[in-house]
Amino acid sequence: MGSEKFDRIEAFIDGKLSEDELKEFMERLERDEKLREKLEAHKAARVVAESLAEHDLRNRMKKWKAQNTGTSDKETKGAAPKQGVVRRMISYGIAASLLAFVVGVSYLYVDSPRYASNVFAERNTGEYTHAERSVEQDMPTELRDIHQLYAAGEWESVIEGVRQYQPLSTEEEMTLDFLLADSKYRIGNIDVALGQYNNILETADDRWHIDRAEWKKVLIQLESEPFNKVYLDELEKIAEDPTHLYRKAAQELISEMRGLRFTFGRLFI
Amino acid sequence: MKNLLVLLKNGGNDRYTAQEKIYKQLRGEGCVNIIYRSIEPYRGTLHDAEDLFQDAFLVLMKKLDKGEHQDEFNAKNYLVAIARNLWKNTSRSNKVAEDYQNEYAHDASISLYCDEHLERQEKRKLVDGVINTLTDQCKEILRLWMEDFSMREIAAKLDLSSERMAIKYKYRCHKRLVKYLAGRPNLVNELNN
Repeated sequence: MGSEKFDRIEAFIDGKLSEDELKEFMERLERDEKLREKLEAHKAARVVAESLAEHDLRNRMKKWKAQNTGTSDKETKGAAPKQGVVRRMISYGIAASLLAFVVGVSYLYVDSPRYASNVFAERNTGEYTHAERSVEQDMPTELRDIHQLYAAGEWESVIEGVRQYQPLSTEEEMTLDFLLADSKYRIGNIDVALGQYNNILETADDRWHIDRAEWKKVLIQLESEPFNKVYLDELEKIAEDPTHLYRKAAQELISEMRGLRFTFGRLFI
Repeated sequence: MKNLLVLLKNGGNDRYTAQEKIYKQLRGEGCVNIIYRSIEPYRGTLHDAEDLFQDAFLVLMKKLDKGEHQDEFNAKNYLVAIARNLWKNTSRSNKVAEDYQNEYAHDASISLYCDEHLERQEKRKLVDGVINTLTDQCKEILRLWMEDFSMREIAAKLDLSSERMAIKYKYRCHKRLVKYLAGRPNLVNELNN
């Protein structure tokens, strides 16, 4: 097939023949079977060539997609490796920061209220072990035994001893009430302990016992509910009362409560 | 979009640039997600949506190459309509969610383009068989010619000494391909129908 004929067929397919050329070509096509066959072969060649272009476009699309998403598959791995690595590192960095943040917040979420409770509990038990351990030599033997049982942490025995002992004075009665309240608190009988402190507050007529009962009561309440507004107000009241015996202790506690772990606990509650 | 269509018509590197910009613009406009929402109720996956997007983009390029689009042509809506039509033709489902309507939802040209595309995919094996008979240089030269690169550009890309050499090589490859096909009337028949 000559170059001229070849080009004529191509021009026909492309629609580039002039009106006269087209007319002539159509006439020839009608009577020339070989030309018809050649035209079909040219059209099939176009299908093949178009497929080559389509295949190339598909490959480029894969590359663009990888650039767009920051991922790279087997065929695009070599095309944009640096960009992919940087993006991946940034993604991992963000993911790690988020994870650390979530873990940190979760830890504070779980730990903060527990930490707050512990602060009040430690303050409470510390107070007792110092104040109630002293054993006077001129005490009656039974009362001294109760004090020694208390110092040894035998709470059940203390409760039993208090029940059996007949106090000889109001002072002794008050001391036993405090020992009983604290022993009940130690064995986890919080409501009874609080009731006992309420009894003391109703019956006591001296400042030392009243202030002490108020202090112990607010510590036990805050241990159960560290961020309860009513209990916190009671603590503030003690801290602001210039005559209260536990004013300084209350102020120290409030200062401690301004720490990060307390603040988080307050947020989560 | 108008500028991109002009670049597309220029062919060669301009066409590459336009194709890339249109592709990224359509992806950026969330076409894959729109397609996914259409096929998801009918067992379509995100992977299917990605494939449909790629195929629909090829069909869209064919339409734009033919210059049959209106001035106010909306490529995004057209592409989504193509993808939905292609999904209807898949063996897994003949359904597609009807909640997404646009000006091309019932465009007859879409069915024609989609049918052509699916036919091309069916002939893929036959075409690949023919392509394998070509030399690597012939494959490259015919591809660049189909992508409307000028003979000067083809010469530069293939490291040929001159534009004249590019014309010569292209003619030789093209002729070889036509000759190969002319000797196989059945194959020609299958490729053209």
